[in-house]
Amino acid sequence: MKTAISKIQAEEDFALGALKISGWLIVSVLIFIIGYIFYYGLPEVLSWNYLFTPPEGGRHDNGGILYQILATVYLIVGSLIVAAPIGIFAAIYLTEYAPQNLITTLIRFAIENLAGIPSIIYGLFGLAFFVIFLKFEYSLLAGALSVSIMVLPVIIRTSEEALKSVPQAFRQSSLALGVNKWQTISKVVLPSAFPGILTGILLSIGRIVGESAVLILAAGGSITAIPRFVSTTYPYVLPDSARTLAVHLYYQATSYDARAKAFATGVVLIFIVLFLNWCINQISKGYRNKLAVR
Amino acid sequence: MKGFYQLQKTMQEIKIKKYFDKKEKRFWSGFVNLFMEQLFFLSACVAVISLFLITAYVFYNGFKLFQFVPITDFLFGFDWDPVTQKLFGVLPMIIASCYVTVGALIISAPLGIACAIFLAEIASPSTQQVIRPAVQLLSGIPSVVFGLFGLAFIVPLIQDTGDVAGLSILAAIIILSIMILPTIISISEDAIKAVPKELKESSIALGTTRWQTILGVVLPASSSGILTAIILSIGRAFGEAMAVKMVIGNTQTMPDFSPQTGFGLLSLARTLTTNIVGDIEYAEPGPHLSALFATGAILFLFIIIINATSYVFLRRASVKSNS
Repeated sequence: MKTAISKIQAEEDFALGALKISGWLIVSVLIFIIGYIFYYGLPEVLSWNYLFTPPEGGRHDNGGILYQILATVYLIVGSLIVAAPIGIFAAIYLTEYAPQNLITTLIRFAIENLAGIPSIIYGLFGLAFFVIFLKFEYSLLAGALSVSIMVLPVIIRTSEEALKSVPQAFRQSSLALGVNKWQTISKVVLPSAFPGILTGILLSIGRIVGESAVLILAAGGSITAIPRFVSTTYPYVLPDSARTLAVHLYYQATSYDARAKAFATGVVLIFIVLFLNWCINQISKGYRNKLAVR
Repeated sequence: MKGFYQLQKTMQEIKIKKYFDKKEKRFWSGFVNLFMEQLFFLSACVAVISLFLITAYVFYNGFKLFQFVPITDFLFGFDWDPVTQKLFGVLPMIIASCYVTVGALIISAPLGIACAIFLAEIASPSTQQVIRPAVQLLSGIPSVVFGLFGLAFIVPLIQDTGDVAGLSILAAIIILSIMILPTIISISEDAIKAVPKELKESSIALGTTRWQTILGVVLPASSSGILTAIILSIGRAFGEAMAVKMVIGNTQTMPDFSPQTGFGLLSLARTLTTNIVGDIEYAEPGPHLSALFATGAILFLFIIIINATSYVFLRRASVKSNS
C-alpha cells in the first residue's frame, strides 16, 4: 500500500514537473531566438545610420533600410485603407443586421476559409489577378490589395468580438430614444467597441509587417528606387515594385554576404512586433479597468 | 397691433421652416440609415467574392498546365525540371510537405499541449503573466525571422554533426515546430479551460491526484478542442513558405530516405510551398508558371481538406460543450 502511494506520488511529481518544464521551455526558446537576433543585429541598428540611409544594393547590401521602412509604411497604409473599413463594416453587418439565412451562412463560411488559406495562395492570387489580369505589374498596390484580403478575416473576427461585447442594453436605450439604427451604431455601439476594433487593426498591422510570401509574388523585389505613393501613370497609387522590411530580410538572409545585415533588419521587425503587442496589452488592460469601474 | 400681427407671422414662418428642416433631416437620416445597411451588407459580401475569386484564379491558372502535361504526370511524376526537359512532377514535394508537417507535429503537439495544461491548470497567475505574453509574442514574430534564426543557428548546428549540408528537412521541422506552438497552445488552452469545474472537482473528491485528474478527466473532456488545435496547426505548417524555404535547401529531387541521412531527416528537399517561392523568380509565362499555379492548387486542396476536418471537430466540440 505504502509503495503504491509513493509510486503515485512519484508519478505525480514527475508529470507536473514535466508540464512545468515544457511551459518554461517555450519561454526560453523565445528568449533565445530574440536574444540571438538582437546579439548580432542590435549594434548595427543602434548606429542609427542603418535606419535612415537609403539602400545601395550590391552583394554586401551596403547602405541602410530607409526605402524599406517607407515601403512597409506605405503597405500598411495602403492595405488598411482598403481592409479596415470593409472589415469593420462586415463585422457590423454580421453582429447588428445579419438574419439567419443562407447568405449569412455563406459569409461566415467564406470568412472561416479565408482565415485558413496560407499566405502563398494569396500571393498566387495577387500575381494572377492584380499583377497580370489588372496589369498593375509588380507593385506595392498589387501587394497591398492582396494583403488586405489576407487581413480581412482578422479584422472582421476581432471587430465582431468587440461589437458583441457591447451590452445589448446600450442599443435598446438608444433605440428607445427614437433614434434609428445607423445613429445607434455610429454614436453608441462603435464608440464602446472602439478599443476592441483597434486591437484588431493592430493585430493586422502585425500580420502586414511580417508578411513576405504574398509580397514576393505580388510586389516584386525592387530595391534601390524610392517608392512613390501616387503617380501620374497607371495604376496611379503605389505603382512601384518595392521590398518591405520582411521581404528585404529574406533576400539579405539568403545571400550569404549580406546575412549580417539581415540580423539588423530582424531587430527592427522584432521591435515593431514588441511595440504592437505592448499597445494591444495596454488597450486590453484599459478596457478591463473600464469594465471594472462599470 | 400691426406689430403684433407681424410678430405672429414671423413666428409662424419660423415654425414652418423648423418643421420642414426637421422633416428634411429625418429624411436624410432615414436615407443614410438605409444606405449604410446596404454598404455593410456589401462589405460582408467582399469576403465571399474574394474567396470565390481566389479559388477560381488559382485553380483556373493551374488547370492550364494540363494542356501541356497529363495530370497523372504532374501528380505522380518524380522529376521537376521545368526549363530544359519540361518535366513537372510534384510527388517529391507532396511527400516532403507531408514529412515536414508530420515531423513538426510530433515535436510540437506534445510540447504545446503540455504547455497548455500547465497554463490552464497548474501555473500560478504570476507565472501565467510571463508565459502567456511569451506565447503571444511568439505568434507575432514574422516567419522570415524564424527562417533567419534557422539559417544562422540551426543549420550550422546540423552541419557540425557530420558530413551534411545542414540545410535539411530536420531544420525545417525544428523551425516549423516552434512556429506552430502558439496555435496549439492558445486553442488547446481555451479547450482545457472550457472543461466544467464540477467535472474536475468530482474527480478530485474521489481522491485522485492532480495529474490523474488531468489525464483521466480534463484531457478526455477537452479532446475535440485539442484535436482542432492540432488540425489547425497542421494547416499552418503545411502552408508555411518562407521560413521553410530558407532552411530546407529547395532541391528538386526526391528526399533521400536511406538510414544514412536519418531516414530523410538530413536530406535536402523541396515542399509545395517552397517550389512556388523558389521558382517564381524565373518562371516564364506558359507551362512553368501554370505549373506553379497547379502546385498552389494542390496545396489549396490539401488546406481545404484540413480546414473541413477542423470544422467537423470544432462543431463536435461546441455541441459537446453545449450539452
